[in-house]
Amino acid sequence: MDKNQLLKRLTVLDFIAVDLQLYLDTHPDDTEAIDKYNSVIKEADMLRMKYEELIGPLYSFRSANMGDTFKWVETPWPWQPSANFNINEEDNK
Amino acid sequence: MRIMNTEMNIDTGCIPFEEYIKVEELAFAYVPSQKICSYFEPMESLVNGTVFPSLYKPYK
Repeated sequence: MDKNQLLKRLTVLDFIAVDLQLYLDTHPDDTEAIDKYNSVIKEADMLRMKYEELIGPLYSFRSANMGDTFKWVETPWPWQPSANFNINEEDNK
Repeated sequence: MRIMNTEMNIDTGCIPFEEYIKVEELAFAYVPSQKICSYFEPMESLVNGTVFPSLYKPYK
Protein backbone atom coordinates (compact mmCIF):
# COMPACT_ATOMS: atom_id res chain seq x y z
CA MET A 1 0.00 0.00 0.00
CA ASP A 2 1.52 3.28 -1.00
CA LYS A 3 1.06 6.54 0.87
CA ASN A 4 -2.01 7.60 -1.09
CA GLN A 5 -3.85 4.30 -0.65
CA LEU A 6 -2.93 4.15 3.03
CA LEU A 7 -4.16 7.68 3.69
CA LYS A 8 -7.29 7.16 1.59
CA ARG A 9 -8.20 3.93 3.41
CA LEU A 10 -7.50 5.55 6.79
CA THR A 11 -9.71 8.54 5.94
CA VAL A 12 -12.50 6.22 4.79
CA LEU A 13 -12.32 4.19 7.99
CA ASP A 14 -12.34 7.28 10.21
CA PHE A 15 -15.33 8.57 8.26
CA ILE A 16 -17.22 5.32 8.83
CA ALA A 17 -16.28 5.30 12.52
CA VAL A 18 -17.88 8.73 12.94
CA ASP A 19 -21.06 7.65 11.14
CA LEU A 20 -21.30 4.49 13.22
CA GLN A 21 -20.78 6.50 16.40
CA LEU A 22 -23.68 8.76 15.44
CA TYR A 23 -25.86 5.68 14.86
CA LEU A 24 -24.73 4.11 18.15
CA ASP A 25 -25.64 7.28 20.03
CA THR A 26 -29.27 6.44 19.35
CA HIS A 27 -28.93 2.67 19.13
CA PRO A 28 -26.52 1.82 21.97
CA ASP A 29 -27.59 -1.82 22.15
CA ASP A 30 -27.26 -2.64 18.46
CA THR A 31 -24.56 -5.30 18.79
CA GLU A 32 -24.10 -5.70 15.03
CA ALA A 33 -23.25 -2.02 14.72
CA ILE A 34 -20.93 -2.27 17.73
CA ASP A 35 -19.08 -5.18 16.10
CA LYS A 36 -18.71 -3.20 12.89
CA TYR A 37 -17.55 -0.13 14.86
CA ASN A 38 -14.92 -2.19 16.69
CA SER A 39 -13.55 -3.74 13.52
CA VAL A 40 -13.39 -0.34 11.79
CA ILE A 41 -11.46 1.42 14.56
CA LYS A 42 -9.15 -1.58 14.99
CA GLU A 43 -8.12 -1.43 11.33
CA ALA A 44 -7.92 2.38 11.43
CA ASP A 45 -5.57 2.32 14.42
CA MET A 46 -3.38 -0.24 12.70
CA LEU A 47 -3.18 1.83 9.51
CA ARG A 48 -2.55 5.00 11.51
CA MET A 49 0.48 3.41 13.20
CA LYS A 50 1.77 2.08 9.88
CA TYR A 51 1.31 5.47 8.17
CA GLU A 52 3.12 7.30 10.94
CA GLU A 53 6.01 4.84 10.87
CA LEU A 54 6.38 4.92 7.10
CA ILE A 55 5.43 8.44 6.13
CA GLY A 56 5.04 10.95 8.89
CA PRO A 57 3.04 12.19 11.86
CA LEU A 58 -0.70 12.73 11.47
CA TYR A 59 -1.07 14.70 14.68
CA SER A 60 1.12 17.45 16.09
CA PHE A 61 0.55 16.37 19.68
CA ARG A 62 0.18 12.59 19.78
CA SER A 63 2.23 11.06 16.98
CA ALA A 64 5.45 9.33 18.00
CA ASN A 65 8.35 11.22 16.46
CA MET A 66 10.69 9.22 14.26
CA GLY A 67 14.28 10.43 14.31
CA ASP A 68 15.90 13.25 16.26
CA THR A 69 14.31 16.22 14.51
CA PHE A 70 10.63 17.19 14.89
CA LYS A 71 8.98 15.61 11.87
CA TRP A 72 5.73 17.54 12.29
CA VAL A 73 7.42 20.71 11.02
CA GLU A 74 9.43 18.89 8.31
CA THR A 75 6.62 16.96 6.68
CA PRO A 76 3.87 18.64 4.58
CA TRP A 77 1.24 20.60 6.54
CA PRO A 78 -2.21 18.89 6.71
CA TRP A 79 -3.76 21.39 4.30
CA GLN A 80 -1.07 20.97 1.65
CA PRO A 81 -2.09 18.89 -1.38
CA SER A 82 0.94 16.63 -0.90
CA ALA A 83 -0.47 15.65 2.51
CA ASN A 84 -3.80 14.69 0.97
CA PHE A 85 -5.24 12.54 -1.77
CA ASN A 86 -7.72 12.82 -4.61
CA ILE A 87 -10.80 10.68 -5.05
CA ASN A 88 -10.33 9.57 -8.62
CA GLU A 89 -12.16 7.56 -11.23
CA GLU A 90 -11.79 4.06 -9.95
CA ASP A 91 -12.97 5.20 -6.50
CA ASN A 92 -16.17 6.59 -7.92
CA LYS A 93 -17.41 3.24 -9.15
CA MET B 1 -44.89 6.45 5.92
CA ARG B 2 -42.14 4.97 3.76
CA ILE B 3 -41.50 1.40 4.99
CA MET B 4 -37.89 0.17 4.83
CA ASN B 5 -37.45 -3.15 3.09
CA THR B 6 -37.68 -5.55 5.99
CA GLU B 7 -36.35 -8.73 4.40
CA MET B 8 -33.82 -10.41 6.60
CA ASN B 9 -30.17 -9.93 5.58
CA ILE B 10 -29.32 -13.54 4.72
CA ASP B 11 -25.73 -13.71 5.92
CA THR B 12 -26.11 -11.68 9.11
CA GLY B 13 -29.74 -12.52 9.91
CA CYS B 14 -30.20 -8.84 10.58
CA ILE B 15 -33.73 -7.49 10.05
CA PRO B 16 -33.98 -3.76 9.29
CA PHE B 17 -37.10 -2.26 10.80
CA GLU B 18 -38.70 1.16 11.03
CA GLU B 19 -40.65 1.80 14.21
CA TYR B 20 -44.27 2.57 13.45
CA ILE B 21 -45.35 5.93 14.93
CA LYS B 22 -49.02 6.73 15.52
CA VAL B 23 -49.46 10.40 14.63
CA GLU B 24 -50.83 11.81 17.90
CA GLU B 25 -51.09 15.44 16.99
CA LEU B 26 -50.62 17.53 13.90
CA ALA B 27 -47.64 19.87 13.62
CA PHE B 28 -45.48 17.56 15.76
CA ALA B 29 -42.27 16.12 14.37
CA TYR B 30 -41.83 12.34 14.65
CA VAL B 31 -38.55 10.54 14.01
CA PRO B 32 -38.98 6.75 13.67
CA SER B 33 -36.25 4.61 15.12
CA GLN B 34 -34.65 2.70 12.25
CA LYS B 35 -32.55 -0.44 12.66
CA ILE B 36 -29.83 -0.51 10.03
CA CYS B 37 -28.51 -3.75 8.48
CA SER B 38 -26.72 -2.93 5.27
CA TYR B 39 -23.85 -0.53 4.79
CA PHE B 40 -22.20 1.03 1.78
CA GLU B 41 -18.76 -0.23 0.81
CA PRO B 42 -16.01 1.76 2.59
CA MET B 43 -14.89 3.99 -0.28
CA GLU B 44 -18.47 4.24 -1.54
CA SER B 45 -19.56 5.67 1.81
CA LEU B 46 -16.90 8.40 1.66
CA VAL B 47 -17.96 9.28 -1.90
CA ASN B 48 -21.68 9.20 -0.99
CA GLY B 49 -21.21 11.10 2.25
CA THR B 50 -22.84 8.47 4.43
CA VAL B 51 -22.36 4.82 5.29
CA PHE B 52 -26.12 4.28 5.53
CA PRO B 53 -27.93 3.57 2.22
CA SER B 54 -31.24 4.77 3.65
CA LEU B 55 -29.77 8.23 4.22
CA TYR B 56 -28.31 8.61 0.72
CA LYS B 57 -30.65 11.00 -1.14
CA PRO B 58 -28.81 12.76 -3.99
CA TYR B 59 -30.71 15.42 -5.94
CA LYS B 60 -30.44 14.26 -9.53
